Amino acid sequence: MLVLVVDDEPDVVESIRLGFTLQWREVDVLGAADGETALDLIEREHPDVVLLDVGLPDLDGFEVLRRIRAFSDVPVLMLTARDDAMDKVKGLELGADDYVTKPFNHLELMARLRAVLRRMAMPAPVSRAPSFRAIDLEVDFAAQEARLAGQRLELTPTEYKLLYHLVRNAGHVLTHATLLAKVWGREYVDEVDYLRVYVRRLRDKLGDDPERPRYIRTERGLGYRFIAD
Amino acid sequence: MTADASASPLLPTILAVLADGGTADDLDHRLTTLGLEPQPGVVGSALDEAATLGLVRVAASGARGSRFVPTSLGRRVVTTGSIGPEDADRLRELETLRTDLSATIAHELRTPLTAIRTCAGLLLAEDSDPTPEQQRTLVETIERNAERMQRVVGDILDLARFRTGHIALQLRRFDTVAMASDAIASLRPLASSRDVDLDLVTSERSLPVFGDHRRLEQALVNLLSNAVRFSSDGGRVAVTLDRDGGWARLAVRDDGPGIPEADQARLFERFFVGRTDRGAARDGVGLGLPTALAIVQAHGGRIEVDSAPGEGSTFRLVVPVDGPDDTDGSD
Repeated sequence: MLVLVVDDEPDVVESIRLGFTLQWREVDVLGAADGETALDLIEREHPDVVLLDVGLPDLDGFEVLRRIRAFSDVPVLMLTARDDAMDKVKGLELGADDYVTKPFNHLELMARLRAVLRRMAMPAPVSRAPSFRAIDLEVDFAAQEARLAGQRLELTPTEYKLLYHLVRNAGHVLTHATLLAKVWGREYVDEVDYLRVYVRRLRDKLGDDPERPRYIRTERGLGYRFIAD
Repeated sequence: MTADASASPLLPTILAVLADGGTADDLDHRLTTLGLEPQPGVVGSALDEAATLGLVRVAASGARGSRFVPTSLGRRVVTTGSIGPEDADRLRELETLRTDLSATIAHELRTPLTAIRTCAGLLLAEDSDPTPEQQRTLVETIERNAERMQRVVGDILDLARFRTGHIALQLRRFDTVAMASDAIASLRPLASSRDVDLDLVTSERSLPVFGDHRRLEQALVNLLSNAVRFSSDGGRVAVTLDRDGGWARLAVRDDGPGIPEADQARLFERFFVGRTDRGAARDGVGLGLPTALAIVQAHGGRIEVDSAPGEGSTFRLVVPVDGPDDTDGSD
């Protein structure tokens, strides 16, 4: 597996490289000290995962992420020295897969990386029921896709997984922790920000107004409920 | 903190006293004369607050304590007696710069801490089995990053002390030519690694100044270190010393990318609050320029800049040869 580490601090790149050499031998590490080099390497070398620092000398890490997402779905973990919730939400909104705050150690980093890879490899959930319908929405479980008024929705694998669990439990409240564990994994049960970002994205795609929801209702302080007919 | 200049009711009076030429030491007395009888410590914290808001700055530190002067914003508050919409914008801008400064400091401390924690974790982990050579690399990385954190912490403390005047200069007469040679020698390894030529150019055999040797050398090293890091590989940095009447001038010239005129206009106001340029912040000296400016101002001097895009930059450190105004200038 090839991991690209984008950080302008050579000691951070080298210590991460040494960490993989000693503890995860199947990983090869590429380093980039700025955003432009990172974008070049992603195009040329097709890394399996990108670890991307937010504070880079040329381009802001968020801008690099925006440009990566214009041409690649490679999993991206943002690395940042700022423990600001707004930063975390911004990264996730732009399509980051996870977020690790400095200072971290190699164990925390590797645990996050394993969780991201596990999520990528996790097959989409399947159901014996062929499909689900509510108002204009149809979720086709066999084809693993959703249509709104007959139009296919462009959903990322994570968005589809979230929608799947919501509609399979239509009429019931799913707590934040339950949804996070089902969609992201058990180590993410406290990451309510992740859930908020993805529910907002799903609502946008469904054209659903959170004030007067037709599909997804917020159960304040608890979780979310897909509205049953 | 909010951008509210009326946070301390004493601020407008303190600003008026300072605008009249009063010193920090005079303030208690002057306020008492005005019938205000401040409690102990109140003037000090009001001054800290005024410095943080960008309303005053330290003009000089000497045997009689620090001398504060109102900034252009502070003077406007004195004249108008209030904060107008433009000033409120300026205060908000200062607040943003302070936020940027905290982000820079967070980055400067947490990045080396990440390298330290990762390397220490690898040395301690039972399932990793580093070779002796890898062990050495890990320990050296820990040592290098701990040193870097130490420098950053030192810079932050220095800057905070200078901004609020809580620092005493150790004044004596010393030779700035010898000081410049020492400063150049300390930057030689960094310059060699970038293949940058570092020269001292002066017609003076010696140029004595009454000042704080260690602090002024620190200011010069900070300017030199930026010049070397902003130079292209194979570039040249020259230090020139000369005397202009009662002033010693130490110029650091580089052939780096230069600074656009629009940025130069606000360069030092920004530096006063905190330079946030990430490029300059590398190696833990991102706070070096504001610190250099504070040191030079504490001596009653200034830093001048000549620069244009594509034509390099000259930072000129200008200090009075006989020391800050409120010292007698004798050895």
